[in-house]
Amino acid sequence: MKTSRPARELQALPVGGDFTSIKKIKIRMPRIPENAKLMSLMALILICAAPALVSVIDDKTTSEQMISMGSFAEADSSAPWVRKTVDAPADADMTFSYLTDNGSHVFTLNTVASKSFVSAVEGIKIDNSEFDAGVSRIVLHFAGSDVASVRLVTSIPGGAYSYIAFKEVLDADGVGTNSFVCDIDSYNLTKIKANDISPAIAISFTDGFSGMFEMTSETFASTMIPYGEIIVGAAGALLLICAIFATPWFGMGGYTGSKPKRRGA
Amino acid sequence: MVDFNSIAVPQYDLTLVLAMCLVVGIVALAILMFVGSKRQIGFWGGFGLSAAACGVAIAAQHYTGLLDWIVLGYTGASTAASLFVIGMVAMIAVMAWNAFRTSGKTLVR
Repeated sequence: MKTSRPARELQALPVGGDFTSIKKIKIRMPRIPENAKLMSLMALILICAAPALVSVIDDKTTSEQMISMGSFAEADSSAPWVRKTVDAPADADMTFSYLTDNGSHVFTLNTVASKSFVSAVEGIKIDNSEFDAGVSRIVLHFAGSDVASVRLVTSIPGGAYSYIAFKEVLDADGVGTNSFVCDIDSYNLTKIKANDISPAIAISFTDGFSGMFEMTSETFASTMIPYGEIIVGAAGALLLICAIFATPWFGMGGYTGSKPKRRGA
Repeated sequence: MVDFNSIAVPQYDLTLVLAMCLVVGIVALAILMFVGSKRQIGFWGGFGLSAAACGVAIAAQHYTGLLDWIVLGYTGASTAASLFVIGMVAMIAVMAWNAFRTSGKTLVR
């Protein structure tokens, strides 16, 4: 009699005793179960695998991306002023010219001889709307003078003096590049937004002021891609779709439930 | 008043307890493969149950994370978590209903 599926036959050697009766062992590949049982197995695996996947996902699984927002807009109340050194003569001419054009800010002392009496240039204000748009990082590039330090003054009018210090960008040899970066933390961002503050930039010089400087700016906003939530939501959507297809009323093969019995001849 | 700190009560890690339950379950399934004629577990049944047991073990190992997501979904704090909870409830309900209607023969119709 011919069998429907071939099977490998092995000769099993008996351990000790009679070699005349050799037992034949047939090894068969496991048959793929019928559709309903296969679907049931897959559903069972899905119902156990989905919580396992979700349990190992942390809601802190995110990816932070920085988006360039261009140069910052200057506030209407922006009014640069010069902080003099302590040894500056009273009659020293500290007047200056200030020009803003297309994201570039140029500051020039009208009398170059007074350059050694300049301690800092302050009062260049960033419009509050920049922070409402999500700006959290400010990069400033300076040319024309060596800048010692830069601060972002976040004082609330009538409140205590507070500021965030910019960090200078260093090259591979550890030398300053005259570019400064400020990452504003959540606390200061909240303070700026809540009080409608237009924070001011304070640029300090030691001996590096040449009488003029040009400042260009770049601002960045951070966005967060919540990968954890996306994966959990996708697992939930998959479960819902599988639940719909598991019902007898909805499927690719039509209605698969019990059919009503027909009476008749 | 009893000072519980002074009593040497063994503190069992929940993970260890669940691991013991899984081992007992696996041994029971292995015995079932050789006992009886009608309720034997076939190859695919064993494969499916093993995969399910792995999922349960992983979920048990990180049960706090799973509970966090379930609470976030149940309270509506996270839309994605709510979708997951609704999906799980729907899938379990449909599978239970199909098992009831087919007298345990199949979970999907």
